[in-house]
Amino acid sequence: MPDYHFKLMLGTHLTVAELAEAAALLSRAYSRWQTNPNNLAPVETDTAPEVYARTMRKGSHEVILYYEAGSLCGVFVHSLSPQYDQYPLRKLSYLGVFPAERGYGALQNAFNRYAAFVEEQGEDVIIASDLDQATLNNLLEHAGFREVIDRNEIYFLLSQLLRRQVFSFQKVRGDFVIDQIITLDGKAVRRSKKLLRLQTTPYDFYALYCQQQLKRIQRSIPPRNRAILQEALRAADQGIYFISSFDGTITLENEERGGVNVLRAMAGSAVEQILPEIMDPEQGLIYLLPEAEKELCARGEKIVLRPGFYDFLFFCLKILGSFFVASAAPACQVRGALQRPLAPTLPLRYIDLVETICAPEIQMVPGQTRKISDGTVRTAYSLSGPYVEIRDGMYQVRKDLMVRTILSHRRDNPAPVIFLCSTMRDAQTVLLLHAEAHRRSMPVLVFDFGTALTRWAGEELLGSEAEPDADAYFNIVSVRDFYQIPTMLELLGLKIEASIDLNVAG
Amino acid sequence: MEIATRKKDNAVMVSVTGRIDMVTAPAFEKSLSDEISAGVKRIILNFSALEYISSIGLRVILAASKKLKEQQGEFVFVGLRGPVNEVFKISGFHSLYKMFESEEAALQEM
Repeated sequence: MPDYHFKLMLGTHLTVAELAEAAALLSRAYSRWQTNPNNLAPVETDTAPEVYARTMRKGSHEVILYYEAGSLCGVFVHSLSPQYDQYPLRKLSYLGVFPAERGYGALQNAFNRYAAFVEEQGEDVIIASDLDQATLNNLLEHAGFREVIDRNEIYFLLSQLLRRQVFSFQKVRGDFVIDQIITLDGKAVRRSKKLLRLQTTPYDFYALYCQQQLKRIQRSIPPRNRAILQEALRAADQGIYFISSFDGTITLENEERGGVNVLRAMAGSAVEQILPEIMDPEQGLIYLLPEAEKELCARGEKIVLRPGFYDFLFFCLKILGSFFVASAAPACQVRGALQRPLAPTLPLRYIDLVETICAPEIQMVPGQTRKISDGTVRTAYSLSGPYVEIRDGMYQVRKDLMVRTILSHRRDNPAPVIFLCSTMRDAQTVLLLHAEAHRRSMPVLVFDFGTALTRWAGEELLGSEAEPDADAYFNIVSVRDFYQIPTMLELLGLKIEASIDLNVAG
Repeated sequence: MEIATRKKDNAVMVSVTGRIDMVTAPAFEKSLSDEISAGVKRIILNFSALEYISSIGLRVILAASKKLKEQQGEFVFVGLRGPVNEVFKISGFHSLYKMFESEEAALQEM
């Protein structure tokens, strides 16, 4: 009969005594690590038992208690992913082990038993372990954990499945270092980590995911076009141009999914009723409440960004790509949304990773007001800037002009142009890119976060019998999220390491 | 963007103020190219007054590095801070080039 056993439950189901005992053990473990001479970068965090008690009681944590001869000797805290009912994957977030017997052998037994217990549950486990925790890393590796070194796989596991922010990821002297900002009890700290995985199930979710992305590419892009793209991606170090729409592409517009309807945010919840009164397209005016420009900027800060956009900007920088925003939304609103910091403790904002924002400015028209039927008196604002023009008597924002301006800086760069969009509002831009792709033999890849534009392009734009070669350089793929794009680009032939020739300097 | 260059010892100091982006990158590129064409082998890029650098700026640096390497030359950087420093870290440039706090320290090393 084994002289050890495990108890597994949601943290909220621990009894008061179990919680106190587990919290005390974790506190002891992390306090000792803080003063361990092997800890080369100790961080002042609060390691009091109350911190761990609060953490365990979060609804997203499961707790495994490890007993030897009836005494608590170990605590393993697992985080549940938002999709934990679809993927049997857990993240080992906190642990402390003090076996009854002293010595490395006893520690190794405890970790091996934990790995066997996880296998009995039919789950896989990952841990983002501090680089300088050599003893722990050895124990984990002897118990069957293996390091994950594929960049996209790390993003898939940590960002996509577990919604953790990976700040940076570098291959340094052969070791992959994840620079992650973690928060403990409200305090943000930056750690260098590596990702270890215990694979006990026969399911390689990442391989399945990649297979599906490859099928999507093969079904959307003909072989001849794929060959052209592959060749163009070899020149990635000359700078891939990523041009992105804003509303609905970078932002989430679906209010049911937590998005923000900008028009309603700007003009009030009854905007549909008063829209004809506040819009004057012939004069290029919109009537807004006073201080609208400041208000738009403030609203911009509340805009919900599409998941994965954060990681995508890092990916663009990693491959030395240039990211442009082309939007019909007012520039102050776009800037407002992108001026937020990327992460706590980081002196970097989203806008710092954006090359240029092409968007119309708005300017107050002094002295011009209108009384609206909702009882408000609103001030006229005009759209202005190089991308606003009058056409057929109406003011229009010319997104195609924005794209032309951006492309004019590209010169004879052979790397592809990638356009990100989500609705039929970008049909004109897609038409332009299709024409330019053919005219300049410029490889273009459009990623559509919706499906309507892809369907329209397939039915109306591609496959012309009159010009069968017109499509060779133009491609459009429907995607669901930003995470798919780096994976697809690598499956198409993009080599991330080749983007920065590590043998260049010294 | 403003670029000031001066020679000291066996190196050229290039101090850049402002922003290196799509608009100013060609001028930055020309400045580096002129020095490399003149046979300069040691270039100290002082970024202490640089507020922003985009990936276009990084590409210029990388392309110039390749040309400089052909002449057995090297770039080193001085004064990286704030967003510019973080961009260098994220892009991996920190592991490609030597970084110094001051021009004196860079000159001593070179």
